[in-house]
Amino acid sequence: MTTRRLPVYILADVSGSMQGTPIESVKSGIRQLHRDLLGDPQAIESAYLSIITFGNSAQQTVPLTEVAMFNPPELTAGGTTNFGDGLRMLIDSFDRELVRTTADQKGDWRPLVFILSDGAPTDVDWPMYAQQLRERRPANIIAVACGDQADVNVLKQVTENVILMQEMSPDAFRAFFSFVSASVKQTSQKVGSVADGSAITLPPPPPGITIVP
Amino acid sequence: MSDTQSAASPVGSKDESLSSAEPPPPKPATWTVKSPVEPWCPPEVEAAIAQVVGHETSDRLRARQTLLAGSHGADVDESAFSQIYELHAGAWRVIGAARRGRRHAHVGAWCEDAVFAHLGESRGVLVVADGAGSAAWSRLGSAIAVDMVGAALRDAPLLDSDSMNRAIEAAVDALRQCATAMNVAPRTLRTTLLAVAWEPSNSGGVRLVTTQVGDGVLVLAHSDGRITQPAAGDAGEWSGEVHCFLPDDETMSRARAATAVHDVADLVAVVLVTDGVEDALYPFAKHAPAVLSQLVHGASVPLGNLTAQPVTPSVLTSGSPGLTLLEWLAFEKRGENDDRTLAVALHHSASHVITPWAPSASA
Repeated sequence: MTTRRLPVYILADVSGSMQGTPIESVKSGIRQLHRDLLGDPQAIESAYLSIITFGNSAQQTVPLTEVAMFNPPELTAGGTTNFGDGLRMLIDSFDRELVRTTADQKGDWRPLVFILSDGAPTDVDWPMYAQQLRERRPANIIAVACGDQADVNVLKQVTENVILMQEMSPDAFRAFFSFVSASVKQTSQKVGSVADGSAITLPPPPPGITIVP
Repeated sequence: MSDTQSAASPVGSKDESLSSAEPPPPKPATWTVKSPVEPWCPPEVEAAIAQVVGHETSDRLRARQTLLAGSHGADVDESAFSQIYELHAGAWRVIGAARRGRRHAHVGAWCEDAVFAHLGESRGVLVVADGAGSAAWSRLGSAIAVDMVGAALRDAPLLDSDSMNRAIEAAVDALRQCATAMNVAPRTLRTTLLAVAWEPSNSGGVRLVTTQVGDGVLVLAHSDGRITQPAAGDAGEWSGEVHCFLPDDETMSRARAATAVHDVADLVAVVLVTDGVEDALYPFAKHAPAVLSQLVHGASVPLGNLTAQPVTPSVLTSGSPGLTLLEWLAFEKRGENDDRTLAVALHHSASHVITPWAPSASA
């Protein structure tokens, strides 16, 4: 592996409450993100996308794939919200898929992770994985709380970057995925380290999406 | 929110329009080249900076702006809006180039790298800097930093650690004061810095003082083919993350730790590169012999795992060494589209000591 990649993971809640408009909007948003990134030569050369879903259990629907080879997946919603299994799958994917810098090889860019959830976890293990992610900081994680049933406090235990999408309308999802696309396009540039709090330089969130302080 | 009802969603039953109305994915985009949209240094910013850095640096910044803006006229290709140096004095030749990267060319942004070179009868100075991509005014930060550090090293009575550290300190102070005068946060001027100054030593060799803040690489090439790297670059486990830039609070502790004085009996060349070169040819110290060989003898075959590389003549025999180096910097590697700077000081013995490179000898 000689190309430095910008790994982008989308961890999407596909529990039963996402049925209908929300899951269709997520699918549409992923297609929109793919189209947007195909319009950016740097993203074509360096961005790699992966889709992980969690319902009754988690699965990596699309492994880390370069933009030109990416096929937006079919997603179906149903079941419980096994958030912990989603986080476990995310950590597992990092371990399997990412390349860190060594004396002989330049590593990937720090991964960019977008977590979408519209409710509260139904499993009991999620705090353990949330703690791992928060303490090890293996990625720039942005969690989006979708709708008024989403548990912001849970997401805050995974990352300090939590944004709130008040409505779960197609337009709101479209705006969110535009935000994802803009974030990806501006991420692969030299930044300060995480330690100085400046690693993440996100574009301003679109209307209808607010940053949770 | 969650429930335990069905396991499958009736795809398309409620929102078929969301999937069926969308066009198929477009053809992947290709790179374009655009002139910078914004002025390199708007008049009000220039006025604010001039109050801080003094006339000499201010004049050179203005000259740099004129050079960058008009260097290649209407013939805008990827190499436009770049900067070159070519100097020759005594036993040394200095060639430097900062080439605007494809990413910046594509979006009509300025090159954020900067280079300073000085070559007198006895003393040489090379400074390169890479403005942080995430910092709004980093092109000014890198230009101010190389100019101030370079001029201070040129004028220092002695070449020692103190003179190097004082030079960095003066640049840090100036950057902070510029930020205040511009009414922006100091971090908007963030830049890395690599510097070397050299002169003949009492023992008959070369005395050098080197330092580094941030990433990039400075290497020394010796007559027996060895490459030495005085300081390790500042890099984390992920690409592009630097712990400290000028003018961060930690700058001086980082600089003091990296500053070193060397007395080298067999010095043939000094090479400084920003991460735009380092990342494509990583680890740079391993590729440095092949790079030097290409610079001295010309390049005909792509180095290492580069995708493509222009055929270029020797920078030593070229009629336009700076432009030749600028062309050399046009090598291609997937995903590596940052600004690229390489500055090299070559001793007159280099053409004899550095042997032609063959692909089998490369890493």
